[in-house]
Amino acid sequence: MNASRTLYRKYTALIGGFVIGALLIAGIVQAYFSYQDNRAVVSSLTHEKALVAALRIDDFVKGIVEQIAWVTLPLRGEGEQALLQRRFEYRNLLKQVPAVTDIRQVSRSGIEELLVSRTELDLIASGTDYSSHPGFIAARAGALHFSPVYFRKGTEPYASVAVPARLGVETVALADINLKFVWDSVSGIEVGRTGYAYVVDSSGRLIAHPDLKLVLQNSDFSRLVQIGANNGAVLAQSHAGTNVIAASVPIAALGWTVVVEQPLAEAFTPLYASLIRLGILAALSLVLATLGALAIARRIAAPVKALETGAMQLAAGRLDHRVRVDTGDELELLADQFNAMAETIGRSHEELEQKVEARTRELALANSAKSHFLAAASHDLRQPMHALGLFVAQLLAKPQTVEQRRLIDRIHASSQAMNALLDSLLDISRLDAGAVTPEAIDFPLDRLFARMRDEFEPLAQEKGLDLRIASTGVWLRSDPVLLGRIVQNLISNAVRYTPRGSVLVGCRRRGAAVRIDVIDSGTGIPEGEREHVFREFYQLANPEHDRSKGLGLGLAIVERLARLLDHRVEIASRAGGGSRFSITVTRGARCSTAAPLEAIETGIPRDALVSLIDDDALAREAMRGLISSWGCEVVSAASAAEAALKLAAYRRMPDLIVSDYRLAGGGTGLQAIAQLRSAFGSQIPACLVTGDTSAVVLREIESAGLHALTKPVAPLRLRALVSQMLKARSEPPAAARFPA
Amino acid sequence: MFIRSAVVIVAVLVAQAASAQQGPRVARVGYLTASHAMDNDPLAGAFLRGLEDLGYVQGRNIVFEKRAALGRLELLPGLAGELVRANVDVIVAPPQVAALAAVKATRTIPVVFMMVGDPVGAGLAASLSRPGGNATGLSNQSGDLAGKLIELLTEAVPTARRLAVLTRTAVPEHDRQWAHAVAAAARLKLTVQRIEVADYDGVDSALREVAALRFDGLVLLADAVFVSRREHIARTVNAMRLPAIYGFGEFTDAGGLMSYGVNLGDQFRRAAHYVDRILKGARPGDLPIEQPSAFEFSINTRTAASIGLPLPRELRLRAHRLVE
Repeated sequence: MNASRTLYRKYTALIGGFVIGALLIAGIVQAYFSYQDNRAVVSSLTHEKALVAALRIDDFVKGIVEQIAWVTLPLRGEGEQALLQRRFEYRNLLKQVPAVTDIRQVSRSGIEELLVSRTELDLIASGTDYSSHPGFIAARAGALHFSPVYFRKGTEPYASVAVPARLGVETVALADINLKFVWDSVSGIEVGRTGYAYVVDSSGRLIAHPDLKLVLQNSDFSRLVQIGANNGAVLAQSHAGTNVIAASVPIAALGWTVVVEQPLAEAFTPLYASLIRLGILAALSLVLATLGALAIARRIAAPVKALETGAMQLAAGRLDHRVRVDTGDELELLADQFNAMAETIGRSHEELEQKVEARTRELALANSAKSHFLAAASHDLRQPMHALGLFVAQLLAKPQTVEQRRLIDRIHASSQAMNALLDSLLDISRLDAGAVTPEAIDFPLDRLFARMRDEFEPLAQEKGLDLRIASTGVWLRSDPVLLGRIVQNLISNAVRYTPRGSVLVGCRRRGAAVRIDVIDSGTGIPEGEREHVFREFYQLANPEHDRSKGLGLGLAIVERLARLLDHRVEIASRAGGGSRFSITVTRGARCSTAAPLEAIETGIPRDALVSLIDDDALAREAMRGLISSWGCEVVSAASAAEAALKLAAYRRMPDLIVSDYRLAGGGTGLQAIAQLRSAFGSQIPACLVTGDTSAVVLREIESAGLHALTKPVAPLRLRALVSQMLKARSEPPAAARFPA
Repeated sequence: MFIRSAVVIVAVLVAQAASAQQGPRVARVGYLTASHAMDNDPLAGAFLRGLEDLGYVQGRNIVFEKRAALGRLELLPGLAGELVRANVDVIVAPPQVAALAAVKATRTIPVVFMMVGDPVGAGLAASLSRPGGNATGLSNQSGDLAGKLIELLTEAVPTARRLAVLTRTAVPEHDRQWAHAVAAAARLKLTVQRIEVADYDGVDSALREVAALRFDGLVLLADAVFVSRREHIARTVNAMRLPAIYGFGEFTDAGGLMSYGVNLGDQFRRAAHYVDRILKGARPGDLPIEQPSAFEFSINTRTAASIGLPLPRELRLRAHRLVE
């Protein structure tokens, strides 16, 4: 999770929390007051219903009493006639008032004078005695009397009412009232959809109920708390156990109580509906509040996010990125400052880049200057060394005293050491300057090995070492010049640092590759030293820095060349147990076989005419002396033109042309050879001596099909080459181009 | 999160509304009568109106299996058995014979009866307030009305001294009613003669006997067999120019002179409440048997005119209903 995401959530939670909290509190408070209001409304409504019901029942009973009172009014006639008249009135009453099932007229002495019934025979003067009937007694005293409710056949609620006589009539009317008719009145009371009213008598027995079955079952409701609660509605349980809101109102005249009950489930239906509405509104509000909070948080967090993104872009180096915030507040100011900062950084970065570019250009110039210097140095330093070598060789060929001989040997050794040092220094400089470009071709490894034999066998013999270089038919794909340099360095090291024993050079096929091994029986390289041996000027066994033992550049060159050629170099060594240096090279395709350079010295024919071209007088003289000492006729010249003039006197074409590569006036040995060859109209055998050992020059010489020796030329190598070329005469020698 | 909650709330509300829309299962009610088929019967119509008042609609939430013996009482046990095999939810059996046949056929399917004079005496219930078995319904209390019938007949024919009382054979209620009749006759200084009707076909011979004995008036007690042949009976009795009073209001509609008895339409409408309670799970044994509290006196004035009987004004005024 990133920071602005957290910020976003934090703002959302904060804003949402406040709004939602406020909404929830408002909702809860409103729900509470809704509940209170609803309950108050339901309570008063229930109580009012009970009052209305009580009034209705009171009216109902009073109406019956009134009707009965009407039929107690005095009649005109007397005796039988009056009773028949009364009977007519009573029958009419029964027809009009269904609740009255039987009605009697009782005389002042308590004797039944008349009975009119719905179910029984109407009787006149039955003589039944009612004098002890409590209703009769009460009515005689002038009071309206209701009997307690009783049940006919155990199921039908009845009450008898005694209506006192009026206006001088001294009879009493006793009527049985079927209270199921009170039910008609009670069931007419509607309290909501499921609410109802019922009536109980003074002892709590049910008189009227919408569910007539309960009345017929003589239900006793006296235990219900709501019957006694006359001051407004209460929460109670109905006879069936449901929670109800109930109110009761007594009917004082009858001793009855009207109870109105409404199940809470219904009474609070509006409340529940309003709560659900409230809930839905709250949910919607919550959703809106959340969305709002998200939107606001986004508005707040987005600029921060933009700033964060900008910072990340800047960190990733995209300096042209600009933050866009237009909130018109501090954040926008911040963004503007951020942009300004980015611009400043961008500008400095650009300046820096320009500086770096300029410096790089300078460095490149310096590098090329170095290359030029190296090229010049390689040529100019080699010339005198070359000449020195040749002169020493001539000296060695002449008889001397022992003292002279010793001196000449010393000079010879010093000159050779100097040559080697020079080569190494130049090589590593060129490699470091990147002046070497490898060019891979397919070539036979044995050609390279043959040259190594030529080069190192004399040295090994001198040291008394057993140098064995195996013969092989393997072809490689690499730059033969550079690879040769690697192998040469490895063998040179092995020979140099192996006091006695043997040095073995061979190769092994490793799949698509060939591993060239140089194995010696020398002192070996200790574990801790192995990583250092490739460093420049690092010498394992030369604490006294004897420069005749080299500069310590050999393996540094090997390492650089191997890296350049993408060949792997490995060391396996044991202290005191010898070393194995290996280099792994890709195998190449076998091409036409080129005969390896035979470095076997044969005799140089007498009277061979050799044309020597070198613009440097000293070197020319040294070479002339050397070649002449082998019995050849040498025509030396500074240029091709001069050579052609001088050769004209011999009336025959030369048997061999030996030319320096770099000639005065910008010409090259190659041009000189070509000029002479065309002048004589023949492919005269020719070879080149060059102080410029750059790969470009060497390849140019090779592509011309010429053999080249690099300065300083070892006299033995020159002699071998000359003798071979004279022997081959017309046949151009195979290129064995690696400098010795 | 809130949106998801809101969606859930709405879904729950919708689901609740949908489940509230699902109607109750369709109730299957067996209707077993001794006389008329249910269709075109005003009493059955009153029963159906009672059900309609309680929210039942034929074909939607209530269906009927109708079986009528058309007066052939011997068919009742078989018809009751058919209803039991149809496994109806409740059997409505209007006259006592049908109710007895139903109770005989099943002790588990609830039975709602009407037009039963004495359910306890008939063995349909243990008591009026707690029937106890699988039957409940409405009592006729007709057993108490015999005296009243005689009183009303003598008011219509003050000169009458010999009255015939037509009863059914082997109906205990009629025996008790006969006792009431005898007591009332004694009070009114009349003679009454009981003429019993064995079955549906016995009506004709009984009426021939009445005709032969030349009574001053005829009292015909409430009975399903009589009701099923009411038109025939009324026509035959009127043809004799014999003043008669019947135990059911249906007889005056059918041309009978007078009737006094339970308001059957009211009773049938009330029966719907029993069916409703039972369909809603009440046990019939817990439902008290309701006794009639409304009695109806009706006079067919046209019949009175046709048999040449002048009715006293006072009697006409007592009538709840005048059929003209």
